[in-house]
Amino acid sequence: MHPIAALFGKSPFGPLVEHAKKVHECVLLVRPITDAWLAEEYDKINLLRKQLSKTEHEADIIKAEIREHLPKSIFLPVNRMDLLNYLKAQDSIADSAKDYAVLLTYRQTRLPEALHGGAREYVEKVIATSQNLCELAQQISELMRKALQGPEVRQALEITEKISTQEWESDKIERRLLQDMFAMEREIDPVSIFMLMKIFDSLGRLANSAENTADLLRMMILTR
Amino acid sequence: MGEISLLLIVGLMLGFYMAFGIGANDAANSMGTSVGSKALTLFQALLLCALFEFLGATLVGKHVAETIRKGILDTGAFQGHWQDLALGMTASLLAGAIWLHGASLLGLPVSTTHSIVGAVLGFGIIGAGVDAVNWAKVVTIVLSWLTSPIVGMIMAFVMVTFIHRLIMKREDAGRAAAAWSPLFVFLVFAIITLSAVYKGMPRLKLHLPLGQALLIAGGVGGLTAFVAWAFTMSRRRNAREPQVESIFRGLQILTACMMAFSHGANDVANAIGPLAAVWTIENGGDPGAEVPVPLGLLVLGGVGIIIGLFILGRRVIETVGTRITELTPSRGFAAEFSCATTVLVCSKIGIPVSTTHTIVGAVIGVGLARGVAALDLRVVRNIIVSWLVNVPAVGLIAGGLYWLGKLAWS
Repeated sequence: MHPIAALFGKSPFGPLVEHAKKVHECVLLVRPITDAWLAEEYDKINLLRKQLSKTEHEADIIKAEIREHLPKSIFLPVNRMDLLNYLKAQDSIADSAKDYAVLLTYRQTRLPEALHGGAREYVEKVIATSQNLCELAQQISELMRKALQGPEVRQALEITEKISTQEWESDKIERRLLQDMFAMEREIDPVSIFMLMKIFDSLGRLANSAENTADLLRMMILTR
Repeated sequence: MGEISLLLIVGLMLGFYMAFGIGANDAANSMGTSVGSKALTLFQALLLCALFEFLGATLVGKHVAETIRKGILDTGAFQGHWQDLALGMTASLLAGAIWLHGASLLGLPVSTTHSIVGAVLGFGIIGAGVDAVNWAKVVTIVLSWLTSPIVGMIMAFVMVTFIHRLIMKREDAGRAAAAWSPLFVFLVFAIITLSAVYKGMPRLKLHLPLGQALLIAGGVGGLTAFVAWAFTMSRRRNAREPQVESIFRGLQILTACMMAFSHGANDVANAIGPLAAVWTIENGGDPGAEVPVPLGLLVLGGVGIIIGLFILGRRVIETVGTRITELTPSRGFAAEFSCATTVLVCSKIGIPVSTTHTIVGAVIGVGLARGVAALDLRVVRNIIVSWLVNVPAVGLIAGGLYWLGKLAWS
């Protein structure tokens, strides 16, 4: 191969965009899964869970490929470790989404009608948080693909504050939801309470991962 | 001049063939990035490349050609048996051509410069002994092989940083780029003109000292800069917000031409230098004398490069172009300007350098300034290995061919 062509190594930034898209695909499935759960359509949950697992696995493959093609001899416009840490955090978002789906398939855990509203609010907030993160990730990776460093980058990074705020808001919603749940704990069997806590916790971890990823993405860009 | 000798005919053919190979092999160095960033279509690139390669070869090519003709070997060692020198030079051309061809077939990157210098060294040592070699010159050349990529790298690094700080970081990057572009245009044209004009026009009986050459270069540069400035002004009057990268796209086309020019200036000698020695000898002259390389030979070399460029070089440009789509025009401009300037300076002082390695150095400089998404530094290792293999290998082939030729002739 011509030396000039050989100089331009395989850039991880294209695959990073793909990974962000795949992760977001996983997160978007949380909505129909929640709808099916609240409508008690347990077969549908299973189908969607399989789909989410498949998508999460595809994201894993992209992650492995990125790691494979980053030998020490490749010089990147960002710190290699920062990039890998950010990738790991982004991947954990998909993991949390999968956990949510899997928990719902262990048993037919019914959510009382009174808590439906709060649950939907929570899910929407978590999805919104992750959505912002995935858009940011795609934007930044596109900019890095062309090794751009101008004001567009700094502008893009301003979204991280919004992501932080949304994560905090989702925490508040979760708190209220759990308080409401414990307020009616006599009407819910203990096993369901146990499972509901794990289910809501997985959503909390999803939002957390999104915020964490945004942070690491920001660090990767700003501390070069 | 009675009968034309067989050696001269063979020499002419080989020289042409070598030029063909040079055009095919190295075309992508200058035009690859512009085709990749879609600043030029393939056909436009081929046309511009052909024009500027030819200009570079004929206007500035003589200095390096002279070095290869009589600077590497002490021609005095062949006094009394000039035929041997002619034979050796022809053998060098053949060795260089074989090596180029073989390496291309195997897909190995090869430096035409290293090949021909190695070949001449090889036959010189085998034909006339180690003392026949002008070691001071050879050491200078080898040192330049090490320093030219490094100089290209540093210059490109500085330029990318400069462009980033003064243009890219600003909110009105487009305006800043438009404001700075006349300076860049000035530099490109001034440097090209200076290299052509300073000590470069004996045919016109002009022996321009440095001062006058600088003035002329400055004048041409200033004129073109003015045209560029007027152009950006007229765009501004149409209330079109200047786009940074489209301005640099135009500048990148300029520097691509500059690179083709510098490549022609430095590499035509790889084909014509040895041929010039053969030509002088077969015409009864002393190859060590201060007779300039005949313009006709340089033209022959230029034409060979053009034909090689059109027939085979186009595919190399296409291949390289598809891989370098992510190098933005401003980075391409910085890399090409650095490489072209370095190679032109070396051409002017008569040092043959590898344009391929210099552009690699320049791109690495861009990458170190974080202008490339992923820079694979294994290329550096491969280049160093190729240095160590290239020169001795071709030297041996040339030496072997020379020895065979001597056997056949006696």
